[in-house]
Amino acid sequence: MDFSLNDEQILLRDSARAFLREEWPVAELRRMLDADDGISAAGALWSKMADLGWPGLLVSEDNEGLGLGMFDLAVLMEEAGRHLIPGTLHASGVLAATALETLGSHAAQQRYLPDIAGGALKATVGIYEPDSGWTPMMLQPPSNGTATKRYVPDAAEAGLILFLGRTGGNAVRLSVAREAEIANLHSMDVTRPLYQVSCREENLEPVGDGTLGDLQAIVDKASIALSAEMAGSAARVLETTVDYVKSRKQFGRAVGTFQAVQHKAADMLIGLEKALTAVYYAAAAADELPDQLAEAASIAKATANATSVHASQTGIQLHGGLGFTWEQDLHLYLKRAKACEFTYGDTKWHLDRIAHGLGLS
Amino acid sequence: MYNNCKPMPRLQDTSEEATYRARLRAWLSDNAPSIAKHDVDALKAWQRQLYEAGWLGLTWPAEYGGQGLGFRQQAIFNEEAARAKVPPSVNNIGLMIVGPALIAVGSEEQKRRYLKPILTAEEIWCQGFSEPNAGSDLAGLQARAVDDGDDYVVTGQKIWTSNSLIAEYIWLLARTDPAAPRHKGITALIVDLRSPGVTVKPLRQITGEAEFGEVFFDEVRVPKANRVGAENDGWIVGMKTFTRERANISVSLSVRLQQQFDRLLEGIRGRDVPLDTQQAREVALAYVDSQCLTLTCERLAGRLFGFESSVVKVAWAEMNQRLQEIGISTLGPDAPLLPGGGFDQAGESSSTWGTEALSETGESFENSWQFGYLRSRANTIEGGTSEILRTVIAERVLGLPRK
Repeated sequence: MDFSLNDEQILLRDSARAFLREEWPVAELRRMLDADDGISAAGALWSKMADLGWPGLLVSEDNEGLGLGMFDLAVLMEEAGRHLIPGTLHASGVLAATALETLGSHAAQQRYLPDIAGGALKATVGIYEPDSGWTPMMLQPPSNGTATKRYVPDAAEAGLILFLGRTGGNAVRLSVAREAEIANLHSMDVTRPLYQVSCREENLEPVGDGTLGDLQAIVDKASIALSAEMAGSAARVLETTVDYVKSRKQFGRAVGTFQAVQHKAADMLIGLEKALTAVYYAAAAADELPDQLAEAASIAKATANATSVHASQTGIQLHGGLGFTWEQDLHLYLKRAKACEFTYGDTKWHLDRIAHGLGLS
Repeated sequence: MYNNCKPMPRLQDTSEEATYRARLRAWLSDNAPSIAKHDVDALKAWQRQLYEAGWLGLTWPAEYGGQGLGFRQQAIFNEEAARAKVPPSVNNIGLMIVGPALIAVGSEEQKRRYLKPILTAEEIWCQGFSEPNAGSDLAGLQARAVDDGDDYVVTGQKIWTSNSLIAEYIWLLARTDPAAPRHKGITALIVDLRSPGVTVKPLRQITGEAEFGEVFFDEVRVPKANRVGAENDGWIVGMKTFTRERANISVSLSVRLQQQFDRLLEGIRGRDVPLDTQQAREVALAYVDSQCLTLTCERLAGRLFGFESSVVKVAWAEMNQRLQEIGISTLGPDAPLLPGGGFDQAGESSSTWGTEALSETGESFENSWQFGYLRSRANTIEGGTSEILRTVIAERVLGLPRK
């Protein structure tokens, strides 16, 4: 089995990079944020991404998607991460698409997936709850007639909000939440807003049933996709930082000639190589070795957490005072990294899961 | 560069690779010996047996005695050899460093003369680069090779020379033009250590063993036919040697890392007291990092003979140190106590390489976490210090400006 990129994947990577460089420069993102348009102004980007088929990359061909795999997705999301594209692609094209493909009834798949794939429908999924942490066993059936989901990505943008919750024991249910109340949680990463969403029980329309294992598998796949974005962001921060320390002069020479600076940059690369390895291993496992999915996803997320936070923090440090300014891109990467670190399990959560798998606890 | 990286993790064998692995595993299970740790003759015989069965020189060209196979077969061999707990190659410097360097830069005649005896262990090699005053700053080396008719006359001292106590040949860098800029006056030579004027002395290290030696040259005559590459081109030969050294060290040792990790787990599972949460996380993180490192070696396989080898070498060295620190810490109050009689017995222990050696945790000093911890302190120094390698990564891989 050889996992070097095939011709289609190379084409996907190169075309995605060229497209995003043209359509979504980070400077443009900053301008929109400053203009207080929010990312809703990104509608033009969304329709172009939809034209390229990206929201339907994981959606099966039967449901009018591209029917590609997690390895292909990782290639795309690495590029998405370089450009900090808004979280809608992840929420709709990764999380909701995977949840519906995994658990949705035939009717629900036919009803929603073609529109998700084509970009006409933006969807999201609420999974975690105020007291659940990242542990599916801690999810609770609705109480007092209301289900509340927390950390729901892009809920305000979404035309379809799905709830994935535990109905008792090992059983989980995927439902469409109608007439939901949505409150912005003001995540530090404004490119990927998070919401608390509440829905009356009678307004939850069941569209599929499964097990806690299915739920975690959906999360694991979403987590691998997010890890790919995080690795891509780290790669971009490293490039930006290398360019900067080559040109910035102090004491009469480029600061990149100083060993203290060089060694920090070297550590960024060492971390990046590890993260890329972990991401592509996990993506390949998701496609072909389902019994390794859980461990591989945790390896990828734990590694991507460490790499992306380290890279964005070090990038700011090596830019000096400039790196701390609002006008520079780096804080956007830091905030993305920090918010992603606490999405789908932080490093401790994943290490605990691995320790459990190794029989250590 | 890093932004054009092609991901290539390999998760399972192709059917062809699986057949190869099965054949190797069966052969090792029938043939893996139990050899006293310092029985050099027996270790040589074992290497020869491996060679004759076709399991050595896997990536070397067939015309020089190799098997002409790919990197993947080498990785399978490393994995299976570690799994079978076979003794390490007695000629590891020859196999991992000198052989690949000779294939890259040696003359046709040199390849035909020296490569096969490396594989058969008939000739053991060491590498003479470092000197007392030229460690990380290797270009400052002072050993002289003076042109004298058909020979060079070599005078000087080398240090940290692994295997020099048992070696027949040394892969030497010496200065042929003291007037030239530092990097331009160095020449690579093959020197027979049995030549008149060569003295080898053991160098005792913090583990108590003498794995390294010091080699003294007092007007040693070396035929010019033993020059590798052109006169004064030795720096380039040296750099090519280094990248191969780092790549090979990293790939073979990442397998040993997995083995050490398994041993750590075995020890933990055998304890009466479970790990606390913090300890369990440390072990889990070590698992994550060692898995990533092993897979990174495979992913970067095609680039490991370039400066990228430094990325893997730095990560491996720091990983192994961390693993050894965790390992010794699992022993609790017994951590500082040396099993097997302590330093005086180091290098003379009766422990064996073989199927039983590594499972007898704590039985002998050299198989202990205490030994592993002390030995691992060299990992960030040998084969390029981590400080030098980070500079190499910054300047040669990332393209940062040099001073």
